[in-house]
Amino acid sequence: MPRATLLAAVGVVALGVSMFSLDIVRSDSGYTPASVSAQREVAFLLAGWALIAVGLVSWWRDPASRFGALVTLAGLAWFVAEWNNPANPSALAFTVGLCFYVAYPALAAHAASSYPSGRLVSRRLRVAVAAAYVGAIGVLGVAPAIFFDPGAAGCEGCPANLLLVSDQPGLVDGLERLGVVLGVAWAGALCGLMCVRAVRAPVVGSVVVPGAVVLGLTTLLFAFALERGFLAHGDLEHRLWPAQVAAALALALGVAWTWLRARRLRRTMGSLVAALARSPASGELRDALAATLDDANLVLGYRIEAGLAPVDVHGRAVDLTGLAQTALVADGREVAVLGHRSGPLDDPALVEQVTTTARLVLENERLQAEASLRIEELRRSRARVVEAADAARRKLERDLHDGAQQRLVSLSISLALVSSAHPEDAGLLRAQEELRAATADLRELAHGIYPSVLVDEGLAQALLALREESPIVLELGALPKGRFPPEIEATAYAVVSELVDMSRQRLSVVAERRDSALVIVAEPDADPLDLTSVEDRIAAASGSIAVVEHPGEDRRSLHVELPCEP
Amino acid sequence: MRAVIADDETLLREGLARLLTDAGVDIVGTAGTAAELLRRVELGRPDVAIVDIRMPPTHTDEGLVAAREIRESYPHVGVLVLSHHLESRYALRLLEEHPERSGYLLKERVSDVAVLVDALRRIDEGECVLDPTIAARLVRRSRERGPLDDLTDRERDVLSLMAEGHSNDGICRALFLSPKTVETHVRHIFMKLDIPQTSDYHRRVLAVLAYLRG
Repeated sequence: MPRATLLAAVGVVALGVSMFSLDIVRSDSGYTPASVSAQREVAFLLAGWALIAVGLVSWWRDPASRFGALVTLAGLAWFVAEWNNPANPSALAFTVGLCFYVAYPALAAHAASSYPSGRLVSRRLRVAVAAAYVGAIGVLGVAPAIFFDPGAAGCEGCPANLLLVSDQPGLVDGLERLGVVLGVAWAGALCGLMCVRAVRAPVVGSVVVPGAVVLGLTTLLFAFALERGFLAHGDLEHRLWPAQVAAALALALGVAWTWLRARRLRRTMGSLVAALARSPASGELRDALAATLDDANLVLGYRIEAGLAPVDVHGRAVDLTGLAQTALVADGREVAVLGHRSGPLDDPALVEQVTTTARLVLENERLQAEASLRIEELRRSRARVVEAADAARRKLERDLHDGAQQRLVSLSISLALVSSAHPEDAGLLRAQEELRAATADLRELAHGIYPSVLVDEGLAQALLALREESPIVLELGALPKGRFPPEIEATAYAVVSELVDMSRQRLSVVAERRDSALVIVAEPDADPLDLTSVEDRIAAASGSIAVVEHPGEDRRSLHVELPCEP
Repeated sequence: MRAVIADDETLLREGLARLLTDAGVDIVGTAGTAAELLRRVELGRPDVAIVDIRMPPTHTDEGLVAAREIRESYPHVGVLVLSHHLESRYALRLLEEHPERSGYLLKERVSDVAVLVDALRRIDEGECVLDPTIAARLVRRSRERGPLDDLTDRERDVLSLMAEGHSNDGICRALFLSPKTVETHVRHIFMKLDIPQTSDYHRRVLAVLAYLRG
């Protein structure tokens, strides 16, 4: 039978069942809380119909899942619960009612806790649901029906019990008492298990939580019936009934809500696919994801090296503190990690869809991130080499000044003392001259190794000092007053110094602090211009250099930018 | 003439003291730190203090700071700062603030007792002294074609000596020229370089230095 026909048939049957139940409820004389008022009758119908409707739709949407059928059955059981009413005109229906009047909570629990696949995910749940069926349909339904004679029990107008084998009122009492005790156990257990599931998997909460409420109310009803020993329509049952209706409606609405969410998810994925189809430039995947998931502060990171912070596509470390983290896993391997506000990515289905949809771009960005990281490592190691070389030269300069030169000066004084005692000794005078020349040589040597003025007084003073000794005309324009990080000052000085060596007659230099960078504009008159060594130094400091031609003016300038935190 | 010596190298300090004593300078105290130097100046009331620019703790310009303090607290005490620095910045900083009774020599001059004593004497007489090597560097430094190129060789020699802080008399002695000739050279230099003339000797030195450095 085609699915549509089957579902339509089930729907027609369900409609019939509900109408039959409404008839019973209407002619009831105090055996059900659904009677008494028109409102209660409407609520009775609405709750059952809602469950059957969402059950059938779920069944239609996902025939592979048993969930839809279970919810439909729960809706039918909601109506059948009234069939053990003495007002039931049909003996067959009355017998069915006797067997299944407690089936609703068991089916509702089975359905809700097996959402969305219709299969129970844990052994404990399977045991609890089985216990519920045994307790509700076996111990409270079929078993007492075999030994229950309504007529003998004093129900004159009751239809015949078609299952009756032998009238055993004592046995029936015992079975019902046992069923109530068991009911407290299985209903309570199922309620607890469903609460646990709702906490562990919040995404199924819209279905599981109403299910837990249904079972919680059932537990209460069993607990109140403990003393009495059987389920009946009392004052308390009457007052709890609206809550049962509400819980059933909530369960139906919870299922409907999951359809809405699924639709939103499809739309989300649609926009992500559209964004990715434009083959985003590096870094835009994060923006696309941020827009898709409606989270402006979304962080997309790639863990390239274990133990290190994840990096973005440009190899820069990203900060995930204070953000919920979700790993995007493909083939059991983490491709990327998302830092996001809690909420939108709670749904494992969404995470999986995002990973699948963006897989190629993610892998691509991951490779880029890795390459960027390696380049950054290389740059850092180059900067370290340059720094180490600078430090070594600085140390050598200091050692020469404070060590060798001091000693030579001391020696020259000793020599002068000796010489003043022997003024006639020409050899001593010559030695003094030699020593003086050696000291001067050493001073020049130490001075050329590293300009101490750069360390002591900064770039501007160092450039002014460079001008004093430069063999070419070094024109200095505006110079920045404050200090910069040592490696930036060293780089800037080295660049100007190299350009001085390169220039033929003149070099003009202007330097200024612009935002968080040191900008140097230099105009050397060298031709051709070999910038290899200058470029290396600048690259080691993450800076940039550009040659700007001035057409028609026969000159060109170099624009050097060295980034530094202000 | 009375002098104190401040240098953190004991050997050098004591050697220098003996050398100057032999040359007839009365050494009234020696010091290894800036604080000790100030105490010696307070107690010994010397005419000149000889100060190494590098002193503890950082060995950068503690000596210069102490020299400045001496010039401010004891106006009659001159200072001669000894330095390894060839750049003119430390020298100019000292001379700009205290052009009288201040001097700046390269450390290696100390073994040439004649130069040293001459510098001390000039400082004691109220002149300022700049090391000839530094002055020559400034005069020689490369620059655009300009007024300096119009100077004659003799005028250049005079300009160098002016930069070293010599007075007209000193220039006369150094170049064996008559005072009248020196005055003419000086006038020509000021005209060619477009430096405002001033009768104040110290202002004149500073104007020359500023011109050369700028």
